[in-house]
Amino acid sequence: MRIINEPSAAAIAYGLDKMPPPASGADAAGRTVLIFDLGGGTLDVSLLNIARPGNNSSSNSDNGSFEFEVKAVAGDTHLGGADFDNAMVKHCINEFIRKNDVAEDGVWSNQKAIRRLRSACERAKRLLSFTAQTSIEVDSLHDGVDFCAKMSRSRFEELNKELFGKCVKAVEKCLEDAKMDKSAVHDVVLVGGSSRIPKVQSMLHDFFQEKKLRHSVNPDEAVAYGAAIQASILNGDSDNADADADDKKRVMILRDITPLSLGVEINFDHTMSVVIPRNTFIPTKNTRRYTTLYDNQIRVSFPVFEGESASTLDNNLLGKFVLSGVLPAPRGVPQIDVTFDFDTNGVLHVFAEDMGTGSKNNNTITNHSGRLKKEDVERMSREARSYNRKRKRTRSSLQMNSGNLVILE
Amino acid sequence: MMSGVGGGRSGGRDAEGEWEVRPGGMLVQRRDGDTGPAVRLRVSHGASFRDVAVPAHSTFGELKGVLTQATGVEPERQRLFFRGKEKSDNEFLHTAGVKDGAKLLLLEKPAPANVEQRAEPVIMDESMMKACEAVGRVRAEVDRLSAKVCDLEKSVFAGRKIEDKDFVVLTELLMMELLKLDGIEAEGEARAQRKAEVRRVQGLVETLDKLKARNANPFSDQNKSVSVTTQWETFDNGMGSLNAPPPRVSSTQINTDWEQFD
Repeated sequence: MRIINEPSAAAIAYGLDKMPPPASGADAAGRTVLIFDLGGGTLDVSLLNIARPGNNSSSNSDNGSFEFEVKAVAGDTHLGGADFDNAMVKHCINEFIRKNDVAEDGVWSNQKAIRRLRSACERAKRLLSFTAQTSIEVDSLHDGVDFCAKMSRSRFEELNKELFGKCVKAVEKCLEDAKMDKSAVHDVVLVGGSSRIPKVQSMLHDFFQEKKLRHSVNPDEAVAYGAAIQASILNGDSDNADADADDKKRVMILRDITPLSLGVEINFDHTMSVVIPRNTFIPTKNTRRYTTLYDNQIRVSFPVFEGESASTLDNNLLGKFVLSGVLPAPRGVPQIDVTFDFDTNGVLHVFAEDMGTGSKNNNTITNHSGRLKKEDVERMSREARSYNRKRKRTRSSLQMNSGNLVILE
Repeated sequence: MMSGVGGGRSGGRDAEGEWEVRPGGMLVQRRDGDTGPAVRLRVSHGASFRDVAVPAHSTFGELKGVLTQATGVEPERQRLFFRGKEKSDNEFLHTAGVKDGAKLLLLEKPAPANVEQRAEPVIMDESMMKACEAVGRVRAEVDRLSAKVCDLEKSVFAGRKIEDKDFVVLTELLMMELLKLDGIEAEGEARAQRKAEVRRVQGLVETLDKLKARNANPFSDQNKSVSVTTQWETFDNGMGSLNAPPPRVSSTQINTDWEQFD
């Protein structure tokens, strides 16, 4: 039993693991697949290599094992279908203000109107995937005034031009990180609801110069579909004796990389200290040394973040724990080793040890596929605090005693 | 002179009656008395309404003539619907059941093609019927939520303290119904129904917002009480008149004075 990453599951959904390697002799290394996953909130681009280790042309035997190697990962944790909706909402509100000559502040502060408009814009966005033009109509949007506007596919694409450009840049970045040319990609797999947008498909089609895009499997289900196939294989479900014998020999070798850098927050200005940089092969383990920030500090907190920003405010908080029992000493004297151990299943184990006293603490963070935005984490945290007063008090006292870290250089 | 004028009118009506319906002035006069001289109708045309007045014994063809002035659509391009059915020009309003304040639907013919004429009513009736049904379902749900709003309103006016959560939940449920209404594709009469329901839900949400503000602010309750106001004034006066002593002593003295006053 093991955990597989989403891009591999998506490739399995399309049966890319069963396809023979490309005919060209120079590309004997295997099949290169680009997984383009554009969902509601995030964009993930992964470059996979699917190979059969030990296979050579002279041998007829098929050992049945194959290897999924993640060459590179890129993307944007703040780009998805919701951003397209927001661009449309902004455009519609400006049009409403211009047409009806109403106060601008009033409309923007009318949260109920904006919510209704966002739902209408999302419906229009979906329709524009099938038709060239549609209308957006909301009765009594604001101050009893109706809103009605035409929206064409070309206007939708114009409004979101920058966002579509970011998609292409992410693909370029992924290929660049893997040091590969786009001509070396054999398959492009589309995943995620927003990959249905015609502009997205035509952009990728143009970028990869007429290479066929794979989107026959429902983009919303491709990952789950592939995971189910793999589960069936591991379970040994087969009615055919020959297939059963063949399936027993199938062993999947996964080589994954970390999609985002992992680290802890240091200093009072939310500085991100990277412990494991992005695109590092997993399993991996790395240790960095930290110290206290002020005199006689006896407790040290370790907020663990993932993301590429130098400030943790723009990164995702994964977990947090506190190392206590640090001997009182002037700031900068204690030596605290922080180890990030990323195992094969994508589970992150974080250890902290005071080299002076031997005091230890650790935390385990399971890899989550749906990354939350920082705002969502903060909102949920606030809600949790408001619902649990006892917990709130504990957290407050924790915050009073906790401090931050600086890097020993 | 008065009787002379009346006689003239009566004569005219008699002539009409004799010519159009049957001889029998008495019967015609009795009908006129029942229905009155004119009926006011509300005609739905696209996204707007037209209020027109026509003689009670008019035909639909004559009504179209009146509507031409109001809408600018030629009579031959007008199609009048009453209770879901299209009416012919030579049919009388009163025989079709059109009464004062009745609602009719006016649609325009895009072209005189016979095929389109036959095809369109079925299609539009079908989609309109679906839209009206969808609005009806939302209306039933809003009726249920409206009853809850009334209950909350009674509780607030009774002075009972209610959790903010109850207001938030009810507002959210109403907002979801509003989003359902926004998702209904509607034209003509169905669109008018949808819009009316939208405004109704918005009214309920505004009521909830006011009730929530009232429930959260205890001062407004105290504001109603005369004795509390009096107490407040006394306190203020007391503070003003006693500057030298410390606040606690002042407060104590004020309380004492107040008790003595009672």
